[in-house]
Amino acid sequence: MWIRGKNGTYEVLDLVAKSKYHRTRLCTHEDNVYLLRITTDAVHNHLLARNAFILSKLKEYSASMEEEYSKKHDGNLNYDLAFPYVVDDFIYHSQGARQVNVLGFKNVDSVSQMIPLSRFRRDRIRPDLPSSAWIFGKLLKTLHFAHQCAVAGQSLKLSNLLIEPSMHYIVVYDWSDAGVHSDGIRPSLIKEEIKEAAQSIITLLGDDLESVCVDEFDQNYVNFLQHLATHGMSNAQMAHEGFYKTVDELCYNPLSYWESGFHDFVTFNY
Amino acid sequence: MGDRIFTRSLYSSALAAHDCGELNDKGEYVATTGVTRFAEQKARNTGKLDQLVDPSGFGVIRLSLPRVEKMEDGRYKLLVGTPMPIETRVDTTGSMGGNVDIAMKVLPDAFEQWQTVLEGYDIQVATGIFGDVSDPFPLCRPQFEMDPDKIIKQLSLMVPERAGGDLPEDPDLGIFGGAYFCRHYINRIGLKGYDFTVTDAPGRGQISERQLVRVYGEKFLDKIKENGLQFNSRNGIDLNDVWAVLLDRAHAFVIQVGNNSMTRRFWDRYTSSDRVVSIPDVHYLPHAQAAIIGVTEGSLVLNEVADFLVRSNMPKSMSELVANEISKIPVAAQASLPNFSKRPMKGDIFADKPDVWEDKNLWPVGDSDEVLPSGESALAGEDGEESEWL
Repeated sequence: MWIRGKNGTYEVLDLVAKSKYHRTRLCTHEDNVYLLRITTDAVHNHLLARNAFILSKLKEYSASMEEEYSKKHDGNLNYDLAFPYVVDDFIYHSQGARQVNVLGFKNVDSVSQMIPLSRFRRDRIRPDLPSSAWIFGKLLKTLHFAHQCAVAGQSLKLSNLLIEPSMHYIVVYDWSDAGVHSDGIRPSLIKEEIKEAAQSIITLLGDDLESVCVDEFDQNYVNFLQHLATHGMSNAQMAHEGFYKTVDELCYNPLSYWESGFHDFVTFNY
Repeated sequence: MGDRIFTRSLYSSALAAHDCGELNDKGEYVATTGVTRFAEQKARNTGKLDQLVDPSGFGVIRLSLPRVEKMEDGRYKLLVGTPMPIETRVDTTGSMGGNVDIAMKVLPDAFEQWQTVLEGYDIQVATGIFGDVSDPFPLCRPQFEMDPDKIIKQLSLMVPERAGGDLPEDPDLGIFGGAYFCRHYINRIGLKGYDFTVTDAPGRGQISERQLVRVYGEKFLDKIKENGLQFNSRNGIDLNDVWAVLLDRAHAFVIQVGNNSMTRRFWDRYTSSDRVVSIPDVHYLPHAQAAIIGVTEGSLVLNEVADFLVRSNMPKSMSELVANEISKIPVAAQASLPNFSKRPMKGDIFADKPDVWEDKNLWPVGDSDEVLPSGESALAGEDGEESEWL
């Protein structure tokens, strides 16, 4: 089946996800595979309309930040790896005038490579602590970036976090609950977001943090995680910096098994 | 009622007719300041508002009706389109005191922008003002009009109080009128009009029956009943409840001028945060209203709002801020109503004159008032053949 959007014509393929408000299918356009999200009813159109709006804002801000950064630094910020990009956003009039978002992921050839973190929980697979740490670090980086764009309010539950394990990508998928807080994000909202992110990592680890600790050094990271899950922090940049301080102490401690540099996504059944 | 719609030339003529304008350097007739001076003087002398803008005048209930013309065969033709009522009540206390002059001045811009997002509708406007209960006239509420002459006349009859009073102002009284004293064709066909409260201050949150009697007359309860609505004031009249009634018939918003946090907290509490839009400057009210209407109608997508505002001559930096504010409102709320695609258009024929009181002849000949379940439209795919429902 083919449908025509504003920016192209898409061949609609298999259903990959559904919820009360949307259905998600694979689709192809010019040899690329994307995700096609459509609302279940036009009364929910505002969700995908807002999703597309927020994603476009994030894309715009990440591009301008990247440009500024490149003037003084080598390397890239790569904030735009943390959220989908909007390929198309239109109303599908032929089927109930429902809103459609067509989404892609930068540097990802096929969207089917992206896996929701909730799937690991469902299958009782947990990552090791260093793997959970790079996931959490990327989440905190994304939060810091989003807050700089005055964007907050998106869900950070495992079902909304996608992973491409081989590329170390963590993507916050749906932003339809997020808003732009032009007059500043309330510190209480920032705290709740950081708490939610930390709690998601704990959930990913199987909720029993004591059993995942290999040695006494792991406890430092676990304590940091639990502290953020309980108390949050009113500043994502500070949380991010605190996180790296904790992890660096582990990585550069010769007695700890943690290593600096790229750590493969390692998982265990439990 | 005729089929005249708002144009700049009609606006200029109306300014001259009502002594509200003057020629500028380019030879164009533009609004002056002090357009309400005669009305204010008369109100001081008589102690009364002109009936056209007195909330208790003309039967209290404000009508928005389709403009139809009887044809030779006895049927009626719709002359302009589905009437779209836009009610705005503007704070005129303290620093907001010059808002009637501003409203008069920006009227042509307002209409032009509304027309771009309300294509096919017959725009009918009621722009009133409010002050404080301590003022002689806490509310001026006009009729819904589409003719520039009548709109300008009604604006010139307003009596802004301009004084400061205490900090809470009293838009609550006007919101009550918007909730209970409207009989609009658009509601009878299952759609909604637009209602805007424009202020830089909080309201009171509670409305006293005594003030309602003062503003709407002793028979205001009878009028509510006449309008087919329920009302119970035994436990006091809370703005939350009034707002809920308003939302049943209108896409209602509070436009906060400035960013006072106390004001914002009040309106977030008594309406909801997705109904409050802040703008830095009241001169850009029509731009914000048009963008809000466009997003609600579905004729403007969120990603286009900033560009739309810039094209309407809002400064770019301001357009980003206002677009961010508007991103929070219920997107396409009108477009998602069941009868949206069935609304009558210019030229449609009715068997008899539409009656909004008896709910008769509301739909053009050939249309029924049944609403198709959304699934039925799925049968025609892009290529006209049966397609899978996505």
